[in-house]
Amino acid sequence: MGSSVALLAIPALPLLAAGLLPAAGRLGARGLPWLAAAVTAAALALALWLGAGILAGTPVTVSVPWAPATGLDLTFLADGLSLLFVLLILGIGLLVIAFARHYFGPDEALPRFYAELMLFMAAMLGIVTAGNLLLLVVFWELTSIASFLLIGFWDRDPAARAGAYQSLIVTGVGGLALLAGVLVLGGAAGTFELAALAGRAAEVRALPEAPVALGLILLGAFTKSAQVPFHFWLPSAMAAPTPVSAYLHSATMVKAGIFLLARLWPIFAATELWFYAVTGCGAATMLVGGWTALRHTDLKRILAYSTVSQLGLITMLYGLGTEAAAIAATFHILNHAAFKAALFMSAGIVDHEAGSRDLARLGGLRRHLPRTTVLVAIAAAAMTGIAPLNGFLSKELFYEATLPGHVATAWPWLLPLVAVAGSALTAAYSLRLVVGAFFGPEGTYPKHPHEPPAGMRVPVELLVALCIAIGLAPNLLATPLLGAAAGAVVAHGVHPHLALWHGLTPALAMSAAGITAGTLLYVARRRSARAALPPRLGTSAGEIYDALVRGLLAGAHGLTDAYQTGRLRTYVAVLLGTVLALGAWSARHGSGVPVLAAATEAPQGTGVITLLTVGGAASVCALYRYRWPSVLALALVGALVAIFFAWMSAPDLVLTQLLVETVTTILVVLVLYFLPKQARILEPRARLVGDGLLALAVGTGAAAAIYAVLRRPFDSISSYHIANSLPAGGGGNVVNVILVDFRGYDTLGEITVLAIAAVGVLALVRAGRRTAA
Amino acid sequence: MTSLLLWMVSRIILPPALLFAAFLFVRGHNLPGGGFVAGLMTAATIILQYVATGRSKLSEPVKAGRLIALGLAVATLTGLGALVLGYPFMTSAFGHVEIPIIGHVESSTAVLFDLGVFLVVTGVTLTILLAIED
Repeated sequence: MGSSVALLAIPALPLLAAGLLPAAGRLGARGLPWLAAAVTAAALALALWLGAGILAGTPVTVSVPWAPATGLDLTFLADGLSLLFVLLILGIGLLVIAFARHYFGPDEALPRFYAELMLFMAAMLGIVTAGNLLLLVVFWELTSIASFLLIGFWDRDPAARAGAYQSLIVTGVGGLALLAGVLVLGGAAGTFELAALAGRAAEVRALPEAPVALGLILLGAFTKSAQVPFHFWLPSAMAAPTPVSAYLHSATMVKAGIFLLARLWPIFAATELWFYAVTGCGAATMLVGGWTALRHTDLKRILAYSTVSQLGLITMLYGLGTEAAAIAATFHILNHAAFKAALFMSAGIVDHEAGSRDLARLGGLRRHLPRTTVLVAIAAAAMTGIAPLNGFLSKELFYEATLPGHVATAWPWLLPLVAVAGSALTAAYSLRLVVGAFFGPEGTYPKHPHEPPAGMRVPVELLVALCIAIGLAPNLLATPLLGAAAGAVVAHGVHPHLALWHGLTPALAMSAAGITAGTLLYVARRRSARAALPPRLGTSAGEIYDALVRGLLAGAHGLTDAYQTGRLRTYVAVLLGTVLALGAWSARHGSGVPVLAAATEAPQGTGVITLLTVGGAASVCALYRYRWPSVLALALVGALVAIFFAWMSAPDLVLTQLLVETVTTILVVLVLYFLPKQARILEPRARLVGDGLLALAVGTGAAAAIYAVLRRPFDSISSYHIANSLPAGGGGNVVNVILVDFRGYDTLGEITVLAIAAVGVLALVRAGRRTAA
Repeated sequence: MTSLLLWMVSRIILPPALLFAAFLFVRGHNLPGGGFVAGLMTAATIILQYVATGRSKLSEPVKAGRLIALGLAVATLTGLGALVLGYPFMTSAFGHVEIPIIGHVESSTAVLFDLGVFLVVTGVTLTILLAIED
């Protein structure tokens, strides 16, 4: 019981904090980070407490029914893989909060920043602890939204807004594909529970729908993890504040796609589609990202493309489908998070201290920032895979996993070659980054740089220390967690062997070859032309994206212009015409218009009189040529219909009808009051006749449709509702019990739509007023 | 568009109209009424005040937008309350309590949900009408 509550509390704590932080503005620039850090630390403590049991081999699961009828349960599952990610999210989150405390000035919108950061953290924790695919999708979408808000944090900066939109659209489209894939998979397999799916992996793989589902899910994973050709949003997202880049775009959010690959590994890794799609995409991403990193001079952009490249490496490893590759990938997730977060924070320090992130203006910083220089050099060396750092260990595992003995492909030399090429590019851009910014001649800095405050430096120092410590004592620090995490990926126990020295292996030779080739590439490029950048790779994916978005907007604009004439008559005619056409179509293709027969319950007495009066009032409304009498006649129609409802003994309808009619009449009067004064309606006769015919056709059609529905024999569910209203809902008013209890879900949806509609009306009225003014 | 007659009527009608809205809401679970209708009634009453007096002359006791947010929160939290107790989302519960003087009263979580509906309907109606009237 205790452990399941702890598991639920891990994502719930930051979510709660996200709700409360906006109201905690008075805590100020000093208090807010402490509050955020306290919440994160509390969740981290819970995770560590749970971790002891998970490392011992007992995953924690907890399930609360949410909407059992649709297969959506709040199932949370914490196994080794979840634990690895939870520790990364919370641990790096804590460091990022400490870093952000000094990064932001006191006049920034800090409550909003920390609330958004906590929201993102909660969503991310939700993804990695979700035990139900639908639940995972919910959190997935939440990370997209939180990321959009955080990238656009500096909302006055057009680049930030553009980057935020781009990431939202790209990951949002991917999220839709993921949802579709999950629905196809869950629908075909009969469950959305991850444990149940993994338990029947062979059966799920063999489903005829499996390739479609996998393709869609991969689309979601690739967009989120910035794989080629969807990688372009990540560099655009660098307009975000550096703490956001360090957190979302190195350690956590971009790893969500990778996490999904790891989660689905036991189900799909044995298929050919998985091997070719995931390995191919990952390899292409690794090379394209590495190459493009050489083309940029902005530190954060270089790091962004480097992240793209490293994510490609991890993806490629999961694609290989072997146990050794899965261990290497899982290990590299941990290592990459450590050194990349350190590098991003260092870029933030450089920006903060020197006032620029552009290599063209930097250089020689080692004289001003000696400690930062050492930190960056170590982190970059870890990224390059130099012994004895953590990156060396995972790179070795990576090389080994690509060797012909481990994986069988048509061209056994291709994968090792790609691996070495990727490493060479990594070495080249790492060298360029370190040498370009910190060595060589003095740059022209906008600010005079000096060492940053301890609060900014200590998080980097801790991360770099972790890189060194894991490299030196991997079995003490990393093996237990890695074993549990990789064991969860491959769904059986694994025992990774990590050691700096394996003997003179092919992997060691590849390591040396990669670093040497990278160094040569860097030196050659410096020699040939100092300023020249390497050639670009064809049309960039970002340009294709821009063209697509432009085309979509132009198309939407054209379509809207075609029927949005600004005249109410056109809108009504389009709406009614569409209804008529759809009705006619379904009457033709459906069961047909029923033959007229005597109605079973014909109105009598008062009912007939009421109906006749309704007809009279409606005719007055339509035929009268002055506005105000028409409006009153329209109100009368509504009131009379209410009386007819009363005659039919439907008191709830009477009340609702009367009030809706009142409010609508007020609305119409208000609108007319503000319209240009025009006493008499003057329209050409032809137009009036045309409108009249359309109205007549729609009215007849509606009457026919209602009649058809009433004539259709069906078992009414009213008796169920009437019988169960009091015993199950505790209310005597069946209508109300249906609204707030039996169909409460619908009502919740409806009031949400109402709220959205109100926001829409408000925006439209304000926009209209602005253009009019 | 202010007229003395309308102004007088709107003043007199305000308390009984709001009381009637409350009456509609409370009886909703067992007799015709409920959050939706009560919300419309309240909004119509308030709008009448605005129309009769002119908006600028009236203080704004609550922001309509806040009502919408509050209503959605109440409705959602009511649904989530069931989760905390281990039932599926939106499971309702009801019981009977004895309140001194008033006597036997039946209460249900659905009434809380209905309160959310009431707030949203009031807020939305006010927002739309005031946006156009503004």
